[in-house]
Amino acid sequence: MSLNVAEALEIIRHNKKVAIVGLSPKTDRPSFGVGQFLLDKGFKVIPVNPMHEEILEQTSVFSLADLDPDTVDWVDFFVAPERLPDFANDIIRLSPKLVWCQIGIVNPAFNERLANAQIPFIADVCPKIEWKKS
Amino acid sequence: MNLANDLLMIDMRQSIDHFDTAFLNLLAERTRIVNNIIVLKLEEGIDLQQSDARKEDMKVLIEMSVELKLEQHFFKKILDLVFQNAIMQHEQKIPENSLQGSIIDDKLQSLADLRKRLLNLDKALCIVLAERFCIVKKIGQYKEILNIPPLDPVRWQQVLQHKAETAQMLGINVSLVKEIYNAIHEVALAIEEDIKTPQSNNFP
Repeated sequence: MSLNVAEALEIIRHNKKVAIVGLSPKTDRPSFGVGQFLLDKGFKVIPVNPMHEEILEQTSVFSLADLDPDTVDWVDFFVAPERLPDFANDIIRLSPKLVWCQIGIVNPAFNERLANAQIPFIADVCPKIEWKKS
Repeated sequence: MNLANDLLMIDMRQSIDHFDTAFLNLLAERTRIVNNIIVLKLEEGIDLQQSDARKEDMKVLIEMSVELKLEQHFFKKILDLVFQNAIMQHEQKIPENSLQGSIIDDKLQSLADLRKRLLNLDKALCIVLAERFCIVKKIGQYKEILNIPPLDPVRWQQVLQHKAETAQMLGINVSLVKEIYNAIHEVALAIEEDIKTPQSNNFP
């Protein structure tokens, strides 16, 4: 089910384990800024990146397939929207409390799969921006 | 795309195909040598546990991959998959694709010789992967310039199926090959993402 910003923020305020798919170690990338912000706010950030073993001084996992359901509360996506369906099976297995797709990352087919699996999601929004506004 | 661009892309994809052929053949040879190590161990009553020497080999291979600028997270994943497969072969005790004829040559060699050959093969696998990813990075840059989308999932499944068929033909564990190529695909896509110029409207 698609959530509004207030509902999504309410979930993340109470759930501190976030996997960030596509988190980059490059400081000029939006994902780096969001990852740093979430760390500063006390979140446990799990980078998901097959290229780097450590990002923002956090140990990275190769893919979502390497995570167990109890290790993550919500998932934040920084990947090309056309790639999102590739992650659907792992997301359904992990059954997170929320899937957050960043600004410009919208894929209706992916959203439909999440909706069918009754996994809450929000898309085309940034948690850092919304947190600061709230 | 114009004709020159098309030809360049075809040329780079052909290069990837060549490296993949080399990679799968090296993996097949690796499987064969591991089988023969198991046969020798069984014949000589040696414990089938993997030796600590492999840990040393892993260190050598990781150092080599750093020099070759191969993504560490990825290479460790591949080594883990390949080593786990060898452990599985040991646990099964029945060599995969055991060709009695091929064992004759290896019988003339000691276990130490076979292990040395295994390390050499792993070094070759590392070089092939590093070279393959040089091409992947070039393709990524090219796709970024020409705004070509990443490989679509349907096409990827066809490629994966082809690799699985080749693996079957070569007597390699098909699941292992699928896992390796899924990892290769993940990294290739991550490289393409990494090359992309960040869009200013995405900045929080």
